[in-house]
Amino acid sequence: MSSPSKRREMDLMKLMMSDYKVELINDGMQEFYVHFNGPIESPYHGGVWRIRVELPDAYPYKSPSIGFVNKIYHPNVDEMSGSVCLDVINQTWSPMFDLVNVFEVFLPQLLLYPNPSDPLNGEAAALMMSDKPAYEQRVKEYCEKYAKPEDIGAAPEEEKSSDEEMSEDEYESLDDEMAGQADP
Amino acid sequence: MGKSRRDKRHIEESWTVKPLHDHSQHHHHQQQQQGSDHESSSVPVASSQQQYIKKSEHKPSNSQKEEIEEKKEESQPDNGNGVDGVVTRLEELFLGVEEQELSEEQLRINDQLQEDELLAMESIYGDNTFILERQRGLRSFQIHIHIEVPAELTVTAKLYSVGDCNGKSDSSEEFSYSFQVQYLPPIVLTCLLPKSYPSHLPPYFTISVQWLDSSSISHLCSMLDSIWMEKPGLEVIYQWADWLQNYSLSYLGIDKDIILGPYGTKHDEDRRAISGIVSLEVDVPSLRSYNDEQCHENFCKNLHECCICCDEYAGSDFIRLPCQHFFCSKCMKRYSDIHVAEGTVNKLQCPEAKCGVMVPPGLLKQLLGDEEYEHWESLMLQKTLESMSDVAYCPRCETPCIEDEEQHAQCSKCLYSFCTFCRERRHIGIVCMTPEMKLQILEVKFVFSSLVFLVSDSPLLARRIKSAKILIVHPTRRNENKLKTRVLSSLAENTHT
Repeated sequence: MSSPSKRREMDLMKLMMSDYKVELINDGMQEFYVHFNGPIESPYHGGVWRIRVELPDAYPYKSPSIGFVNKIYHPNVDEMSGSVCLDVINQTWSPMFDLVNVFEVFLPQLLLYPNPSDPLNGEAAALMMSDKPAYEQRVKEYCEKYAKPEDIGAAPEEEKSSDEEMSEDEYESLDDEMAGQADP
Repeated sequence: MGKSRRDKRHIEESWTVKPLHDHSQHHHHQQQQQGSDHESSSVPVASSQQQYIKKSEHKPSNSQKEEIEEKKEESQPDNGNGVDGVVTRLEELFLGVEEQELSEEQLRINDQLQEDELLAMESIYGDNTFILERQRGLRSFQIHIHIEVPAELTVTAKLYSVGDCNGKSDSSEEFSYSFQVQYLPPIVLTCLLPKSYPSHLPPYFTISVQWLDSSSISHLCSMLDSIWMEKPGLEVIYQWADWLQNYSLSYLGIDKDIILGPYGTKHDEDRRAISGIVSLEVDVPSLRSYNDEQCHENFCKNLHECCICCDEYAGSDFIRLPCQHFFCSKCMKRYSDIHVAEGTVNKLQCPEAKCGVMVPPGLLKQLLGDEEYEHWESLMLQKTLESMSDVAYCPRCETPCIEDEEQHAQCSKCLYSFCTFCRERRHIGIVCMTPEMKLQILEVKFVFSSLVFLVSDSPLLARRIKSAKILIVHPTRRNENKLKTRVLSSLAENTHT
């Protein structure tokens, strides 16, 4: 049974209309990238991430899978692959939620209030519980190292390279931190 | 679906929004439902399906008065409800008037005008016009006039204390119940056209209203009289219907609220006024269910967008949950299938975020089909048991059993009585042992039966046996068990600390 494609279209449209930068991977609307900024009142503030969103066949009855392409230090995100723990999403998911919800509500909530009882990054979870300031420091370090605009192929903030020789694709292939990128 | 809860004895639980069907089935079903929920509210007010079949019960008789008498006995409650009542009253009116003799020419003209007017009414009011059997050769018909209900109209039922029929009430004794409606049962205008209409006489008519008392209705009748008097000789039925539809409520002073009643007063002066109010217990549910049915029909006819799939469907393709949220049936089916297949039955709640109302089992049965429904049932059982912490599984047959305070359970299936901690046969007075401890005991037994006091490799065990102060004797079969028990218990004592 085909999943409701009209719903996918609508959701994608709404996401794009809400001023999120969306990069479709193919025309299938199954997978795409979104640029996401760390929520303001969290240690993730200032970081930018490229998020890979995958809509399963059963969307919207099942939640989308979310993955951080560039590195992030967070108890519920696997450091190597960048995948967000599915259980955490599934627990609160309802077919009425859409993609805007994910980026406006769900992800910011997750970053502001990690769930230590279900960690994919045990070290981060432990650190958060034992030494919160150290945890926050670590988070910021990671942001500095891996979550800058140039890390996700966005135009760099500084006046580093005014020459536009490097195309966006080349930027991406340089970056080792990319995980799970589709073949061009 | 907003309908009242059904008695569990009813096999038919209709959760799906019914497809549109014709009027007669609709009314029949309505009466079925009403019959089960409360005492039969047979206030049909000349309901549609009866009209076409009904044959006028004329019995050829000499005296016309006799006829009327017979009719009166046959008719239903003497407030004139039902077709019989209306027909009777019209007869009364007819017989009460002496018609003029008219010329052939005039009769022909009137006849033609009447026919034209009826056609016009049919085209204006469509399905709401009903041509009745001719009475004594005279044309007869009925129009169901649906008033446009003002927004936020409430119907109020007032309950006065005993001995208070005049409406004079002690306000502390008064109790009232109000509800909002968007649809009211129609005002039914029934007409009998005399031969001298429209040239000399107006039509004989009755007005039936289910929710007005006879006094109010007689005011309406008087108004119709005035309308005729303004332009006698001209066709008047359309003016009547139009006035009733657009001005009757305001004429009666009804703006935002209709008060049901008064009950118990008999106002029979104007025989053309037929009131349908019976009693609070009957009228309130009757009006409510009429309103609900109409809202429902309206919903079914229109297109709505499903919030889940964003597709548009007619209202009849939607399923409404008890929390009033509605979704298209395709989505509901998919939603249920997915959760049952994944075993996530706890998430089978209303898809609306933060609603939390569980999808009712009756609906699930329809959505899933029998086989998958059984699957759902077993999943639910499993989840429920898992959430109960004092459940242990029988070591022999895996049946879930309930644990008591002493860490003991007895399987209801195989009757095995076991300790829930170590899963061995119940051992009263002896503390549980870990597998390591059990292994050590085995060694000790070996030692004893071989008559050689060979301490096992475990220095701990040796220490313990020494400290237990056990008398080592030549173990015979008889005392071996005793010894074993003593060793075990003292070992247990020591480990317990």
